Amino acid sequence: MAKVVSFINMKGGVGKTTLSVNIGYTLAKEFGKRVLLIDADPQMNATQYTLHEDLVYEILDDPNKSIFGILDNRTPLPGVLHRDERGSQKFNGIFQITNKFHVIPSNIRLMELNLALSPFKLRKYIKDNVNSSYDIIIIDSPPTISSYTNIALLASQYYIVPMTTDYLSLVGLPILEAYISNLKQEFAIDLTAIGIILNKVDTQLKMYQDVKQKILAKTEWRQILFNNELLERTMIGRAFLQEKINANQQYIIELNNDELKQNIIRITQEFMQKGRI
Amino acid sequence: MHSETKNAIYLLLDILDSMSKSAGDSTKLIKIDQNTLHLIKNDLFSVISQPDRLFENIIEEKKNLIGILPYVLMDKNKFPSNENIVKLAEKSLNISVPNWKNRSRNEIIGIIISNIAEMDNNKDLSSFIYPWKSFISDRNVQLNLNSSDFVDLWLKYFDNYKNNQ
Repeated sequence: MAKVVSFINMKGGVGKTTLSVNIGYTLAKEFGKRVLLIDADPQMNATQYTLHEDLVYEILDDPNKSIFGILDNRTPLPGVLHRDERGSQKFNGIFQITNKFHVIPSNIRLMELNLALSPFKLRKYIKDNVNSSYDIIIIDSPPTISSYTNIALLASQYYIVPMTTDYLSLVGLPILEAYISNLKQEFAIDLTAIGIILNKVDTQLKMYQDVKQKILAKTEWRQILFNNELLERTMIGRAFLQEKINANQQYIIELNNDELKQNIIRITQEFMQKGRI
Repeated sequence: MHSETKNAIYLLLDILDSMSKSAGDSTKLIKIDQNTLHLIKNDLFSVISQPDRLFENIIEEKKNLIGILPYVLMDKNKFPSNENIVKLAEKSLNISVPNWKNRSRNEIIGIIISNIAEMDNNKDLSSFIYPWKSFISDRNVQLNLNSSDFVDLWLKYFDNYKNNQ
């Protein structure tokens, strides 16, 4: 049975997508794990990170080839076959990036759906359809307190908090804690923090040292803080170019940079160790 | 790999990490070199990843089994009656053949092969494939391959294999 992990932070630009995509890819490529990455963010960052441009346009044209197809529960129009009757029309929104790294993309039209009506829909889809086919399912969550984030967390057993070493990110941590605590109470679910991963790290900066000290000062944060941190390197951002994506060369372990490759491998190992994956 | 073994390896990694962190303390009970620690970790993670390689092997082995098994099951020296075939399928593959008494040998074999093809429980499949390969290549078995009690010989071998795991 797959373990389901959400990557979440209420702040944008902290590296949720970079880490969720690259940890997922590294788990599959280096450690032979069967990985499903679900992009639950209508901004479609993980979708654009992993899929070729033409596929992204195809998904924009047909939202049913994305997580939208799983979550859309609007009543079919009169004259259109009811869902049960079109049983042969299976969800076809799982894209195979490599043998063991698959992606369910997102779609901007996710915002049209009233997801509050069925908060466990993604959880049910995972349980009924894909749980036994993967070792791990990673959900890239949106940076908002919203029904999209709720469905991602309610489908997960664990969560990871990527963050950058700036003061605003630090302020976001207690907000996230409060949000998750409320969600756990409201829906009576088990949701465990695997860890906090620091991203875009420059160890020479005083701000890095300040923020890290503040994290280490709080016992519950210190216990889950990853020893390994993703370094700040422009090469990671530059890899996000269409020609690299078309050749599957956008992932950190494919950048021909040994320092970064070892960096993401160690983060992935720690992820496996902390999540017992 | 059993999940208990995997968890034990992770526990060992947790202990190594704790020791490594405390190695900076003045007490320095145990000194761990970081490069050595990474080396150990890489080895242990490669061990942890092995079940997934096993999974890949099973898929390949499944294809091979589907190719070879009809030929074996057609052999009337090894399987004098249809009952022998059904017995092998039920007891070692957990596949039942409904109304087998009213079916031809070809139909029975077809049902078994279809079931294997659709089997997604790799545990059931691997518990058959590995002893089966070992059985077929066993020299003592080779000497009795054409004996009429082939199925009983196999089932005895299969049970012993399971009990020794």
